Order: sequence, then C-alpha cells, then structure tokens
Amino acid sequence: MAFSLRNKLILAVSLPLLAVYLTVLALEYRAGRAVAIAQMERHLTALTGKMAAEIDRDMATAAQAARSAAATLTDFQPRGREPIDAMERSILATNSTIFGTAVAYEPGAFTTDRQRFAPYLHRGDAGGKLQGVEIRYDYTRWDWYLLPKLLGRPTWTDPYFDDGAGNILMCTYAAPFYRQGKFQGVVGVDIDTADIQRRLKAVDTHGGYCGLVSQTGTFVSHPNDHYIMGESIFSLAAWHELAALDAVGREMIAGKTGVRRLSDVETGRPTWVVFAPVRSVQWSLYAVIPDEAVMAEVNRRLNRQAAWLLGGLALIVAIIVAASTWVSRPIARLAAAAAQVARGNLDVRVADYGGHDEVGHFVTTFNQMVGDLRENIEVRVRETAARQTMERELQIAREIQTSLLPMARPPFPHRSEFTLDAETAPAKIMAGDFFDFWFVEDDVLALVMADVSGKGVPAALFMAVGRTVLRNFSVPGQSPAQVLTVANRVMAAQNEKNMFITLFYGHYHVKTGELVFANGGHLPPYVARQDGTLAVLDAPDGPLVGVIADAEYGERRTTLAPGEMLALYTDGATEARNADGLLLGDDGLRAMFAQLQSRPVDEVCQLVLEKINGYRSSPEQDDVSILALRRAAAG
Amino acid sequence: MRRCIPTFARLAALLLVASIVEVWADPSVAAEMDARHETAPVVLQLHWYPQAQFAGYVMAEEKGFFRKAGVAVRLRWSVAGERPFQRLVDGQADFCIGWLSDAIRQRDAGQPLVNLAQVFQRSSALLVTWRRSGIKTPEDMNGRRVGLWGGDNDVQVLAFFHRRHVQPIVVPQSASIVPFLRGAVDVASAMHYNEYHKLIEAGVSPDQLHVFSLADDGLAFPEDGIYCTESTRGDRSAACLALATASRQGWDYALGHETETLDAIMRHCRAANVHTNRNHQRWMLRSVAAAIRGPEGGKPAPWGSLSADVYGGVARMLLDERMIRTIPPFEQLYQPVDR
Repeated sequence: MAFSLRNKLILAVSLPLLAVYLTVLALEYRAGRAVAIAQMERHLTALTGKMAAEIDRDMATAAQAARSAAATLTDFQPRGREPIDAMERSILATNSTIFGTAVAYEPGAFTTDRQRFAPYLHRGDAGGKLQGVEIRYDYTRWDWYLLPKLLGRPTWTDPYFDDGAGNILMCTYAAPFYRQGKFQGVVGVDIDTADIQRRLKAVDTHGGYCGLVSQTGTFVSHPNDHYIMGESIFSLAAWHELAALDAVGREMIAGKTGVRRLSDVETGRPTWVVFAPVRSVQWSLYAVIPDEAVMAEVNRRLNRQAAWLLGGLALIVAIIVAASTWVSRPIARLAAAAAQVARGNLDVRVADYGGHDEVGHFVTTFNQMVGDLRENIEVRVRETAARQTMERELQIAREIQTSLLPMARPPFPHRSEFTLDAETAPAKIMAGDFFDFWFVEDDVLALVMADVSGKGVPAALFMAVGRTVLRNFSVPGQSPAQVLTVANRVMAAQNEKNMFITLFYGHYHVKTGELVFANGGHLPPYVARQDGTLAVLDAPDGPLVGVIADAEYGERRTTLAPGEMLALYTDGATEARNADGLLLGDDGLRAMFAQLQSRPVDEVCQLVLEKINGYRSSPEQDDVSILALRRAAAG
Repeated sequence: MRRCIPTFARLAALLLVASIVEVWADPSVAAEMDARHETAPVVLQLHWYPQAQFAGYVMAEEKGFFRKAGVAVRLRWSVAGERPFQRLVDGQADFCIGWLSDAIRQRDAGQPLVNLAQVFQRSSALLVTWRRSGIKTPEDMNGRRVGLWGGDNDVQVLAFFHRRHVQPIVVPQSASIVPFLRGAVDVASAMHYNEYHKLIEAGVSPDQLHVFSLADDGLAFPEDGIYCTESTRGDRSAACLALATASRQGWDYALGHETETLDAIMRHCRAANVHTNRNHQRWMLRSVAAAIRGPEGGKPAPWGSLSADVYGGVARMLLDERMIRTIPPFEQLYQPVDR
C-alpha cells in the first residue's frame, strides 16, 4: 500500500493547497517587505534628520558664542588677562553644550614679550568646577588654530582625541580675530562628543544603531569603541573589499541624504544604512539596521499566518485520512474477499456496509456476483460430471459394440479354403457400420457388410438389433434373399425411429467358391479376378433394410475362382473427401484395391484403410469398413 | 585642546619594571645576560607612535629575537616633538631609530652619533597636491601654501624647492591631513606609508591627487636607520651587534608574516591609545617593505647598508642648503657592526 488511495488523495489535495499557500505567503512577504522597508525608510530618514538637526542646532549655538567673542576681540583690545578670563567664563556659563574655551594668540600678539599666549577654561569632571590652564604646547601647528588662520574664517575642526582629559573625543569651533586686518589669534570652543554619543546611543532605531562619521569618514560614534577615530568608512570598505560601502561613504562625506542596502562588514548580512548630514560640522549621521530587524515584524506575521495555514492543511489532511479510511475500509474488505474468491473460496461474503452509496451498491453487487458465480460453477460441475458419466457409458457401449463384431484374427484358422479379414474405422465413438460372418452350414459362410443410417448410439443400437435379427433368421436352408426379406420385415416392424440399414448379405460356399448374395441398398462389392481385373459385382437392387416391411429381395450368384478376392466396403470409403473437397469415389477406391489385390487379405484391409485415412482430410467424416475374402489358391 | 601628557612616561615605567621582572624570572636568559655582563635592558627609542613603520623591532621583541641574540631590549615610543637623538645624548635611550639627514646634522653639531644600520633604503617622502589645484610641476608651487612638518623632516623638501628655485609659502603642518582636505594648504608633506594613505582613507581617490615623489626627483634621502652613541658603539659592541642582527631578523619575520605582525602592531597601538586601523597598518607595512628593498626597479640593497655615495649626496645637499657647516666623515657616522 505504498501509494494507497488515501495517500493519493492526500497528495492530490495537499500539494495544490500547499502551492496556493506558499504563493499567498510569498505575495504576503513581498507586500509586507515593501511596506516594512518603506516604513523603515520613513522612520529612519525622519529620525536621522531630526537628530542631525538637533546636533546642528547645538553646534550652531556654540559656534555663535565663538564668533561673538572673536568679534569682540576684533573690536576691543584687552589690556591684561582679566577681560579674557571673564569672556571665557561667560561663554561657559551661557552655553551648557560647550566643554571648554580658549583664546589663543598669535605669537607676540598679546604682549610683545610673550611668544604664545592661550588661556584655556574648561569644565571639570561631571560638570564640576571650571578649571583654567594655559596651553603650553605649540598650538600654532594645530588644526583648531591653523584652519581658521589659513582659511580666514571661522571653522570646525575634525574630531580629535584629547588623551589628557580621559579619552574625551572633542571637536573645536574656532573663529579668527584681527586687528587692523592683521590676524591676531583665534577664539575656540570645544564640544565634548561624548554628549552626542550618549544621545545617539539612547535613540531607538527598532533593532539597529545610530552613529556619526566625520568629514573624513572617520567614525566619531559607533557601538564598537575600537572604530571610533580609528576606522573610517573607507578603511573598512578597503579591508573588507566592499565597493558599495566605499560609494556610500563618499555620499555621506559629500553631505547627502540617503537610504542604502549594504552587507554588514562583520556579519556579511544585508543591512540598511540611512544617513543625513550634520551640515555645520560636515559630519554624517547614520542609522544602521539589519534587514532582519526591518523584517522582524513581517516575519512574525508571516510565521503566524504560515502556522494557521499549515494547521488548516493538517486538519484537511486529517479529514481526508478519516474519510478515505471510511471509504476504503469496505473496498479493502472487498479486495480481500475478491482475493479469496480468486483462490476459489466462493462462500466468502462481504459484511453489509450499511451505506446506500456507490460502495454499498458495490458490496451488494459483489456478494450477488459471488453467489451467482458459485451457482454457475455448481451447475458446470454437475454438467461435467454428467458428461463424464455419459462418456464413460459411451465408452462401454463402444466396447460392447466392438465386441459384437467378430474379434478373432484370423477368424477361422482351421479353414484352409479361404482367408478372410475385416477392419472398421469408426467416425465417432459409436460407428454405424458393421460387418459379420459366420458359418450357416458346415461349408457355407454368411457374410454381412452393412451401414446403419446415422451415427452414434442410435446407429449402434440399430446395428445391434440388425445383427441379432440377421443371425436369428439366418438358418440352414434359407437363401440369402429369404434371410434378408425376413430380417427386413422384422426390423421394419420394430423401427419406430425410421432408421434404415444398407446391407449386403451373402452365402459363400467355401468348397465351390460360389457366392450367393442379396443386397439392401448397399454398394456393390468388388471381385479381384484371376486375370488381374477388379470387377464390380452386379448386385441385385433391393431397397434399404428396415424401411419397407413387405419388401422382397432378390439374389445373384457369382463364383470366386481360386485366388480370387471378394472385397466388401461401406460408403464411408467412396465418400471420403480430401482437403480440396474431392470425393475418393468408386474409381479411387477400386484403384486402391486394384493396387493391393495380390496382397494377403489382412494387409489389403489394413492398407486400404490407411490409404483412405491418408486421403481424407479428417477421420471423423464417416465410418469406413472393409472386408476382404480370398478363395484359397488351388492345390 | 589640552595636550596629551605623557601616558607614555607611565607606560614606559611600567614596561621597564615588567621587562626587568621578565628577564630575572627567566633563569636561562638571566644566565646568558650574566655571561655577557648585561644586567639591564637597553632602550631602543622609536621616533614616533606605535605603527607598522617599526614592525621589525616590534616583531624582534615579540618573537624573542633580541633575547636570543643576547640583548634585552625595551622599545620606547616617542611623542610628537620628542627628539630621539637627544634621548641618546641624554642617556635616556641606548639606541634609536632616526633619519639620515637628521643624523648628519646632529653629527655636524657635535653629537657623537653612529649609524649601525641604514634600514630604509629609499625615501618615502612625498608632496601631495589636489589635481584640481592646477599644480602640475614644482614650479607651480611658487607662492602657494605648502605644509611642512618643521625641523629635520623638512630638509629634503627645502632642498627640493631650492634646487628648483621655487618659493612657496611655508605653513606649519601637524600630523593632521585636515588642512589639506579643507584647502587651507595647497601642498601637503606626506609619507607614502602614512599621510598619503590617510588621505585615501578619508575618501580621497588617488586620481584626485597629484603626487611629487622626492626620491624620484633625485632627493634620495634614505630615512630610518639604527643609531647609538660612539661610546655605546665602542664599549658595548656585542649589544650593538645583537641589536642590529635581531632587528634584521625582526624585519624579515615581519615582512614574511603580515597577519601576525599586524596583530602585534594593533596591540601596541591600542595599548598606547593610538587610533588607527588594520587596513592603514597593512598599507604602511607593505610600503615600508618597499622602502627597505631599495630604489624602485633597482637591485635590492644589502640589508642595513649605506653607501658612501648616498651619504655624500645627502650631506652635500645639506651643505648646499647651509644646514651643516662641514660634511662629517662617512666612516665616523656609519659604523656597521659587521665591519
């Protein structure tokens, strides 16, 4: 039962359903994905834009403070340090986003005796007391000093690490100030990027993270601390050989806004990057979110749907299983019953299934069929038995019939005056031909060759009757015509079935060779004469025996010279047909005898029968009987 | 804006203690050291922060080549503005890495410096301009702002301008590439192994730049070499030999084991709070490998060798620029240990 009806049903139903479900889920997924991505894009574009704007605003405020101070210093030349310190205190007091501020003079510009002068005021740890120091190192080479000086305008530096303040990543906005058009120095304000980093870490990106890259693509904020100021987008792109990341990096440092799909540098998984510029500092604020996080809700929904659909499918399969079991159980029982029937058990019946549907009808029909079959076979068995009985009886009848014919060969071994033999080849089991010979008197041999009309048992019985009658009425002193006349009368009287016999009856005088004979419609015998010819005896023309009760039969005589042979036969010989339908005929038969006439009588009988059998297309055509009598040669 | 104050000093002290403990903890090394009468580690001062420029010495230490050669070496990094040759003279360092042009000037100034091995055979110094600036020849730099690091490093560039009769506006330059990126300077000094690649990592593509290689301009000032004082060379020649031999082994190893070397470099960078990335250090390692091999297209020079011709070329240039008064005799400055 590898592919039972049930399994086929299950496959036939569940496969198309599964295909439909999968198609539905795939379409759902596509639609859901498009929506989720659009949502993510909207959300993160808005978010990064907002964050960038916030940072920009803070930066702009800080920058404004530096520009104001620079403008003041351009207009007003402080004498001594105190006004500068006051200015720095004021900047920090009014701008909470500023970490520290410095006024850095060009060497010799503050006082001619000082090479460099740069007082720096910054917030202490955790926003504690302000701390003032003087910058000792050669700041004139540093970006925050050099850039505004060389560019001739205020500007932001790139972020840089300040090791002394405990890994504070800061960036500086510095504005130049001038006296009489001559560059005097810069006013710088520092922004602690840790504040921005903290703010970015707190942003909810729904499964991703936010960060910043500077104008050089260097990470200012990233969840991996090792990236900060160490890696740039371009170093990552080069190391991991990601051309797409490199291209995105170029867009970011060019101040563009965008949404791009990339593979994550560490996991290689598809990831979305949304970026927006922080214009004042020329940074780029980005949000990174793995594709799987974007799709999380869609996937959850799809999983739920898939679970429902699969549950439904399981239910359908269960129903199919139940229904097909319900249908197939009686069918299986029918199959088992049919197998039993095939093995010959016709008593088997399938229990009533109880339904009035096709299967119920099938069960009823099957039971009926097996019943009919059984009856049929019983009839057949009876018939076969009957036929076998009859065949057995016919066999016995045939044996009896055969026993009626003279059996001994040679029939009269003690008589040297003649030789005699007769053979018959019956067409069916029961032959209608018969021959007989017996001594009526010491030297008179009665010869009979007859053919009963019809074949089979009736013919045989009529033959038995005929033979008995002939033997009864063949008494010494009676001539063949008298015997035949009496026998005919007796047989005609008892012949209610209107059967008849063609019958040759003769008395052969063994001493003299004289043959006296009567004939009731039988074919005339042949005589093989001494001169080698084969003559047809001119037989008296009597009617068929057993038909006309008062018929009178005449008789004729002939004499066999020593060595001459008398041949009697039935019409089965002359009427033998070959495969072309041609009759052997009188001529054909005579030719056979003529050819064989010099042979001994037993050979003549046997060979003529063989020749006739060889000639005719089938042995069932008609009975053939041959009788040959040869007068012994003189001496 | 505050300056990074010597985390290095603290680090150095720590390293010193650590290496002494390590040496004494290893009996075989201790025995070896006794045999050579070297009880304290020597200090090898490298002239910048940890980076792949010094990969050979880092790997010599990492793989124990110094110890196996019979000298305990402690690596000491420099900070901006620190002058390793001065450390030698001060006695704070036993050996240092320095540039040849600088060494010649120091020698001329009377400092008893000796070159044990000239490791880099080729100059990596470049001048970089934007293609869009229209500067195509050195002459185009006339009147343009050129960033110079200041001090010895500039000798080559100044010689370059002098020979070409170019008068640019010289602007001080720090390690930052930002002034160049922002257009505050028109021409930036850059080492091929460092600043040039930093520009690339800042999103600049090579075809945006026009690069003048000073080495290609006949100013083949070979840079990093191993130096010590004359007295060290005379009194501790075994240590000098060991240090030079192990350094060479270190370089061979570093150039043959890129991944392992980069791991070690990155470890040192993190320990010293140097913000860099692996991609940059790989570029640097490959670039200095080329500098060690020698002039491009030429036959690789024997490791550590310095020819009298090259020496003479550099010294004459310095003399022409009036950076030295006389040319110090070649044999005085270059005293390789295998001689």
